[in-house]
Amino acid sequence: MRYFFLLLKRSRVLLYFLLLESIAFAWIINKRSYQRSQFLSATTEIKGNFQGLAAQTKAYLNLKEENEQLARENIRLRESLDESFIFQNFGADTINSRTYKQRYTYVDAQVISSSHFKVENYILINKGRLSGLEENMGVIGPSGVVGVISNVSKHFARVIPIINPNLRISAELAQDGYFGPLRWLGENYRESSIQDIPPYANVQTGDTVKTDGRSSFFPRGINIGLVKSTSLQADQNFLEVTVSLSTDFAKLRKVYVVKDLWINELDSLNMRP
Amino acid sequence: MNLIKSIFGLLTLLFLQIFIFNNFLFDGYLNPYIYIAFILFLPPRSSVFYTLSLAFLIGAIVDVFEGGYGVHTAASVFIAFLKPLIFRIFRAGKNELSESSDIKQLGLLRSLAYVFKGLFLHHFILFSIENFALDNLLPLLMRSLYSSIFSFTFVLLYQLWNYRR
Repeated sequence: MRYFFLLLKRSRVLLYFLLLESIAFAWIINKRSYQRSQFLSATTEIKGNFQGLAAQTKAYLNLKEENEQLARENIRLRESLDESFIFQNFGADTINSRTYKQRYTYVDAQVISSSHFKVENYILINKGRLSGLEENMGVIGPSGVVGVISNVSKHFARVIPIINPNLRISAELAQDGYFGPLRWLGENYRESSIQDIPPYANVQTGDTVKTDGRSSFFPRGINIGLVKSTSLQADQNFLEVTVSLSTDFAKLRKVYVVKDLWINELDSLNMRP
Repeated sequence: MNLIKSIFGLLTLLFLQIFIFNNFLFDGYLNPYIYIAFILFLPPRSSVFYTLSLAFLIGAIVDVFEGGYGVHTAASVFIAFLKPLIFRIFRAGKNELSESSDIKQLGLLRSLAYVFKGLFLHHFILFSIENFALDNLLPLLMRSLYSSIFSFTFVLLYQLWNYRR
């Protein structure tokens, strides 16, 4: 027993070191706890206030590029308006009135801080609970999908972008209709990959990849990117498709948060056993 | 007075780290992490328990603000543990200084080498823990090297500013 205590005394520095390291690693491993998300929404608020100021200056300097981007998007939207279509009715005797109901609305927001070179990237945006944002709402940018909101504070929200390995969304190959989970592998912020595409799918380089509407995060048909290459997965049974992402996370400024107006009704169906 | 001075120094470093270096200055491939300089500049004779606890605290603060979930804590505790070892390597051949040894007594070149080595190790450990794998070692090493060169520059500037006062 005496020797045991002697040993303990001699290696007390090592033991203390190991104790501190195990606390740190426990923290790393348990990063998805409820307490953390509570805590994050508090620190998000503090950080957001500080960075909002810097982001304003930055936004001013980038006004020109942003305007061009918005103008391009306006053109695209205008093209999809009813007035851009010609209505031709050849001999039909009934006219369909509108039976569409609005499902999605959008809230525009500015990025106030973001990272794209880390493994776990996050984005802070300048709208929060007061603007009606909630967790698990999708976020899209002018050129495509950005990510999903993970934490909301009063005035700010934290977005997990698709360049974070913790987020998986469902992606669809627009040509074939096959779909699979889009998962980022943590290397290049311009690329991501889709797993579990059947090997008989005819995937061509340059095919468009879009959201498929199976998740409640995004409407169907929002751009994700273009197919860059395909390869067999490690299990040899499915294809893995490398996608070059259409959103450039290095210069993302303006985003839109997608609000699904029918989410409660959809969730109530999903919840049912 | 000395205590107040070092607390002020620590707060300055943390402020620079959290609100400038973490965010808009070089938020990219180069991530300078300068807060570890505080641990490296602690007097070599100070107790290991004290160093370890301080490293834990500093790492935790940076983690909380960066959303790093313990990555910085783990890395800075590790550096605090290795610090006596690193210091001994650079002190080799200057054993006569063992009493009241200080970084300044290492001589300029050696102390620069010591700080750089410490920074590089810290970045490397940090990025490895962040990756949680060692499969792409070369990019990891390059990233640590570039980032630590960057941090080194800022630590030098910070020290210059500090000495001038």
